[in-house]
This record gives sequence, C-alpha cells and structure tokens, in this order.
Amino acid sequence: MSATCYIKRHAAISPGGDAEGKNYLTAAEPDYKSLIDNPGLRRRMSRIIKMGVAAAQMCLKDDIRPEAIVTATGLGCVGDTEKFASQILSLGENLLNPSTFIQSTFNTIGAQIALLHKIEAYNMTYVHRSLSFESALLDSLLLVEEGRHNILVGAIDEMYETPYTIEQRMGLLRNITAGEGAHFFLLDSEPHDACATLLALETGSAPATADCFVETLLQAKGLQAADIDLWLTGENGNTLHDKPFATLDRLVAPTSRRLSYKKICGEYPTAPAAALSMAADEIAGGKARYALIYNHSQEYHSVMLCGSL
Amino acid sequence: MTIYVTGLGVVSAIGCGVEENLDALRHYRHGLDKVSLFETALDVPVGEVKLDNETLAGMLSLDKGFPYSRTMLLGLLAAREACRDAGITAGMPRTGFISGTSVGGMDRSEIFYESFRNDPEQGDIRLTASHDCADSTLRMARRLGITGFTTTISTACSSAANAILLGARLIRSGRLDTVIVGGTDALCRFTLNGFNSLKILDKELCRPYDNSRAGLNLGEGAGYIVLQNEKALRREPYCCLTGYANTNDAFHQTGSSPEGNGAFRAMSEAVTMAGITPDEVSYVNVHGTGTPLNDLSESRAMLRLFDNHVPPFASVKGYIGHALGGSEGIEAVYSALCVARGILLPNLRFATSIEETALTPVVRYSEGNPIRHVLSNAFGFGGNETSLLFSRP
Repeated sequence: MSATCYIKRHAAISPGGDAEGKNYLTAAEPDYKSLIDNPGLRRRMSRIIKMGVAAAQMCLKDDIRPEAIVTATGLGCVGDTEKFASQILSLGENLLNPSTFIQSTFNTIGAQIALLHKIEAYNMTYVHRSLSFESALLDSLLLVEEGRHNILVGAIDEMYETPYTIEQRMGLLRNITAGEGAHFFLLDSEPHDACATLLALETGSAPATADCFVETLLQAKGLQAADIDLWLTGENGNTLHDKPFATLDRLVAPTSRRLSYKKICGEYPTAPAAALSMAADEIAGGKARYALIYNHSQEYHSVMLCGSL
Repeated sequence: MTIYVTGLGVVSAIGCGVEENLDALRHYRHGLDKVSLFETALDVPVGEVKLDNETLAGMLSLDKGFPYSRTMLLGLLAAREACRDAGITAGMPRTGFISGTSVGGMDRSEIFYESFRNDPEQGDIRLTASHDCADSTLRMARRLGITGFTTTISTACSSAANAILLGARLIRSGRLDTVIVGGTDALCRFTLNGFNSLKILDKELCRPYDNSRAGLNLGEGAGYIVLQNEKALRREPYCCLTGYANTNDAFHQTGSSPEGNGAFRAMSEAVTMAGITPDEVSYVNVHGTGTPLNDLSESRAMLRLFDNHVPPFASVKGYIGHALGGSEGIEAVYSALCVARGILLPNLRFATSIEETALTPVVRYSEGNPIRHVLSNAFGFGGNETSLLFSRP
C-alpha cells in the first residue's frame, strides 16, 4: 500500500444487535423517501437494492462525484433471484416479468448508483464470499494509487427466511446468529475532511498463527500490539470458527477495548464492512487511535488496520 | 511495465481447448443447437459445450458423484489448459487467480429450489453448496494449486473482461508477478428464461451486425489467459495486454445508450492507455451480441472512435453464442491468437449491413495478416463496459 488512503465518509444501514424474536438480525432501515426521492424508482427497487442505494446516497450527499464505484456482496440480490426462480416454476416459461431477473444481477446496486448520478466512471462488483468486501477495498486502494479520487466502495448483503433456512440446513449457523447490512465508504488520498486512515489491508489464506501474522503487520507499520486501543474481533460464537481469535485476544486484548462486532450486525459474507464502519466511527469520535479488525472464514482470513489522522 | 500474455485456455460451444476452437473458427463451424442440458419449453438455439458434467469431471479426474457446478467444471478445464500452456505449477509464488462469473452455481441450485419451494425441508442440500459465485473460483484455485490473491468478479457480461483488467492492475502495482484471469459461466434454465423474458433471444441462429439481426443466442463456456510481468516470463508470449478500461454507460439497467457513449469511452481509454492512436488498431473483436440495440450502438461508438474509418472487425457470437460472464475469457483467448498468428476471424451469417451505420464485418477467415493491435469489447447489464487492447510485443 503506497498511497495513504483516507476514509472521508461512511454510512451504515445495519442491525442493532437485537433479533426482536426473529432467527436472525435484520437491518434498521431508514425512511427511504429522503434518500431515494423518485417514488417510482423507489417502488421498483427490492429491499436490498434500497438498502445499498440509500447507504451510498448518504456518502454522496452534497453532490460528491465519485471517480469509481466498487461494490461487494456475498449472495447479491438473493431475494430477487428467488422471486424470478419462483416465477419460472409457478408461471411456466412464458410471459415472465423480467424485472426480478434484471435486479438479480450482482452488479445491480453499483449500476443503480451510477444511473442515479450519471456516473460514467469505473464500476466494479466483487462476489467472493467472506472476502468480497476486502477484494473491493483492495481494488479501491489500487484506484487511489492510480490517482483517482472519491472512491465509493460498499458492501451489501441481505438475510431473510430462505437463505436462513438453507444456511441452517447446510449446518453453517451452529451457534451463529446470521445478519445483514449495507455499508458504504468514500475513500481518497487527500486527508481533507477525513475521519480515519486505512493503514493496512491483508487478505488471503489464513496463516497457522494469526498472532504472529498481525504482529509482523503491526511492526511493518511501526506499531506494537499495545498501540491498538480498539480490537474488533470477528468471532461469531462457533467454537471451531473462533479458534484463531483466542491467540489474537492474548496479543491485543489486554491493552485494548474489545468489540465483538458480529454480536451487533450478525454473521454474513460482508460483515467486515460493518466492523470498518464501527472503527471509523470510534476513531472519528476520538474514542480510539488505532483499530484492528480481524476476520476469518473457512481457510481464508482478512486483517484491516485503521488509525486516526 | 509490460504485461505479457503467456498462456491460453478455452472451452466453448465449438470445442474444448485452443486447437479445437481454432479449427472450428477456421472451418466456419458454429456450435449453436437446441437446448439439451436441461428441460425447457423454450425453443431457441444455444451454444452448449458438447460435454456433460460427468464427462467433464472425468476429464478433470474429479469425483463423478459430487455435484460440482457446471460453471466450475468448465472453468477448471479452461484454466488448467492456460496454466499448463504457460508452465504455471502449483504453489508458484506471487501468483494469483481472478475469475468472473455471472451465474455461479445456479445450474445446481435451481434443481434444489424446485423441491425446496414446495417444502423447505426438501431438496438435496449439497446442490446449494456451489450456489455463490466464489465457489467455482475457490475450487479451481485449490485444484490448480494457486495460493496467492484470489477473487471473483461479477459484472454481468463483462465479468471476465474485468477479471483480466484487475489482474493486469495487480501486476502493475507490484502485488503479483503472475495471474490467471478470465471467466466461466454455464447455461441454465434461470438465465435462459431471464433473457427470454427480456425478449432479446433470437429464435433463429443469431446474426450479429446484420441488418436482419433479431437478438442473441445464449452460450456457455470458459476462457482464461495467463498474465505475467517480465520477471516471471518463461516462454515466448502470445502478445501483450497494453490497454484496458472500465467505464459505465449510466444510461439504462439493461440497454445500451443509442450513441454507445460508454462503449466509446471504454475503447477510447484503452487505446489511449496503450499510447497509440485509434488508426493503429488492426482489428476489433466486437461485443456484437446480435441484439438490434447492442450492434447499432457499438457501431456508432466505433464510427466515432475511428472517425468513420473502422478497421476490420467481427463478432464471434455467431459461432459460440453469448457466454455471458465467460464470454470475454473466451474472446480474450481468440484475440490473443489473432495477434500471435495474424488472424482475422469471420463474422458468421452476415449478409446486409445495418442500415443506419453501413459497416461490413470480416466474413472470411485468414491468417498471417500484419496485426499489431486487437481491441476486444465486453459490455454488460448495468452499463458495465470494458475494452481490452492486445498488442504485438
């Protein structure tokens, strides 16, 4: 990472940690009227598209013109996908309404944002399971290095009955609360009006020793474990999954405030975006100087390191 | 920094592997036929890969009983060929894999959903394991022994083009020395019905760039190329990737702007990046789906870019159909071959120029032409427009 990357704005539509009697956490959705003012457009958008577009709108207020739009999602507009699949089965293969098919495309949210603001710039969508958001973030860092400004990067995933039932049946939710969320960030190489700095991003195959990996990463940035005052752990309640977090706790927890972010947003492919949003909030509010975010899933992991300006 | 293309792998409706594809292209042999992979009431031609899943699994020495997605099987076959071609071995350092797909494992999950929809306790749950787009990529990376940066891109029909673009940028930024890039998509009932509901499928064989064109034929397949920097170079490259650009038409969720603004900017930026002028482009592998709108708007974008002097161009969709997320992977392989062997490809079933733009594509196959730069277009839903420029080293 050669160019410094600043987080200028961030916006979240996410759950507040209370499942309210449901099996999974759902996002507290805002009143969309002020964010997506065209009523026809608003009505045509499915729930996940509204969540994504609205979160992006919050980052784009005051006529900010991004020079790139990068989105990430694990399952995309899965509700629209299901509706179209269901239509094929119920109506047969004729006279189907194409709108849910169109909206089922993974790049729909990025495209809708571009359409809404006539942004003809770079537009990309990552769909790489638990590393979707980190891939989008890496692309954004490349874009910043390449000299682009105001990179809009976001992550969107939705949870509802069908994916919940399927994930439950697949055995993916043992002791885990599923969740969802839409998070967008505006990144730039200029610190003007920024709230936090993205100091490091690492993704890939999980190392045998997460603590050594993080320690080396911190050293490369001239930091020590004791400098981390906010520790955002990606543990999700599943004993097998949570193993690497214990070694990291020994490294950073003694000197930092520990936040188990999935208790608030739930587990979902792009959940680390919620952690980055929380880190930006805490740093902007002066409640932390350095935040460490660690997540892993299957044999892959990701580390994000944020700092104050 | 020069980015070399050192390996090619392809599976399409006209064959498995580079040589089979070239042979079909040379002999004007298209691969469009009736749907045989799944039950459907839709009577439209499609470009299926003529190998069933069991055969594909056998060719790859995989467990024939496991419900791999067809997207993964097609992808692995093409990516393995590209790796072998370039001499990529398992565990090679600073080597990445980036794959594009628009459909993921829908070919499997739509079978599951039929039973699940009636009763959420029913349906073979193993069929859902490959639903997400990352499944095919991760399985392929594991089989190929690629341990470096791996990701999946889904920008509809430009997915593979954007995978190639990202790979080049990762090499340029110094993060990778070698990267296998491209895309894969399998045909399934969901996609066929989706395009049918949009009323853009031709019931006859598609006729890209012809005045009578009436829509596209869907296809399937996969194509991957290996990109390397000079340090990693072990063999004589096919060509270099000298330009690339990703823009957005910002006009309509599914349709292109009539003037092809996004297409114009993608092509123009790719050419500018290479430091050449448009008149130096020798050949354009057009997106050319065969829909009335795409071909007209792409024609207009070319007339503008080339100041009315459009170089030889052709669409290969008349051979293989539109393989969506895999299309630019396949067509990047063809484009690299065009540069390496001086090939001009024929645009099948062309008879009369589009009235508004009067452009005539290449209709005869030829080799040994003096080709320096080949521009290749991939445009998708959501206004995602990407152009790549392949050049002689």
